[in-house]
Amino acid sequence: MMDRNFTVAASTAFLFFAALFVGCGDSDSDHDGTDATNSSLTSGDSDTSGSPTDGTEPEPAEWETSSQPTAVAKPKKKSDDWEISLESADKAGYDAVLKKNIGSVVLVDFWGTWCLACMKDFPHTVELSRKYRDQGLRVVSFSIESDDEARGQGLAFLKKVDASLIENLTCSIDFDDAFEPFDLIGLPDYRVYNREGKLVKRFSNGDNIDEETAFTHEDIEAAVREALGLPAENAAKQDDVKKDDTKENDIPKDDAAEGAE
Amino acid sequence: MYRRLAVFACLTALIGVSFAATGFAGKYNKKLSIGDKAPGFEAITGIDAKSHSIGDYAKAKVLVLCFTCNTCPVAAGYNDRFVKFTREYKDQGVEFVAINVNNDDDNKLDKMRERAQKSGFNFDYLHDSSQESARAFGATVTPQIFVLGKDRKVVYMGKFDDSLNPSKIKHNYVRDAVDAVLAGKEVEVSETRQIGCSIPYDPGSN
Repeated sequence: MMDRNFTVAASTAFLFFAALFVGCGDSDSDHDGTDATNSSLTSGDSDTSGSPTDGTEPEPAEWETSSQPTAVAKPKKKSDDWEISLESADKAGYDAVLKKNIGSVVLVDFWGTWCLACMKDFPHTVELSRKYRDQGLRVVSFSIESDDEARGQGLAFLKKVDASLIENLTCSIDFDDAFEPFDLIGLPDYRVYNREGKLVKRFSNGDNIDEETAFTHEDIEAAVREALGLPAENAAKQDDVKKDDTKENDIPKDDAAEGAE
Repeated sequence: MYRRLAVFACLTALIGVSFAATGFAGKYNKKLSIGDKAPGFEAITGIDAKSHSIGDYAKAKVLVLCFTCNTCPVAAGYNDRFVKFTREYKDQGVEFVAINVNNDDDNKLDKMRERAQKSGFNFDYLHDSSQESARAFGATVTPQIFVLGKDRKVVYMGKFDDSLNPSKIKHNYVRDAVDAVLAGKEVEVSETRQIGCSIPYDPGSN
């Protein structure tokens, strides 16, 4: 047992150092999600904490300078000939979609029709796809299904929840082999990629055993906001409260002044 | 250059030794490693309305613990296999025990009884509302299996076999592990990636 542990540990340490030496932040492996679970990633040469201001800073767009989200993007109406489709993809197809979206923040929702929690939580993903579309968020859904019948049910579900602002993919790999390439255990599993295409946050229901790995919808939204360079929503709300407080404080003064008159 | 390589090798060895000395969890399990003494469970209620503890199965040569539930389609896909396994191994001193830690209405004891009757369960099906057993074992999904040897050390953990589709099974991991223990041999594949429905842990219950 000790020997086996030592071998595995030495291999792990070797891989760790090897990754450190070659600079793990620069390769395509950043897309595979194997290095982070519900935590910020670090790489050998740069901070990937999620804010576009941390790494190579892109030209700030107009929305980036605003602390408040602009109007929530509206999904196209069903009457607008908008077809919600489900594209088949393997690991290479998944990586290609991430690559295509470099420049945007990407939220991926791994789900499946057999996963009750996934179905229950999916509307929150739809909400994020609308709320932050204009801020530069692109949402990808990636379903793991056992057969084409389930994929069909998945498509019907996506139409029902109107996932029209989401790029909907379904895994083409056989169910038994689909989990390994994406480092999945339990679903749903959410991943947030920054504008450089690096995985900056992961929330996995297959790793929800501890307090520190348990997560809420608010945590996912906070990670999305951070990757988008937006202030934390509670901070924004607090600012609003302060403004409101100021107004409220002003009113009684006026009232008091009126009363005094 | 050689000096750098030497430093690298030393650091690698040191970290390897420290990991091995302190122990670290399995590849797919945060709490347990193969060879660890199983954490056990105490006084949890079965569908027979009796209290069950790991000590009740002390006579078993091999104890197979399965975290499962009523509502997961993946787990449901394995029910027949669990029944068949129990039928074939019971007489060889192997106990199969299923534990459900889900706390929603569809996974309460009355619903578990219905499930057991419908699927012809021939093994103990227990409900651990505290979820402590699953947390202690580092279970994350249903179904997830732990094979414990006579000394109740973990000899295998992960999935039951390698395919949801019974006609596509190539590797019967649990059967192979149990056979190895019964034959006094080393288990060849001791850990696999568990696949299934995430266990809905109650927030703040750990």
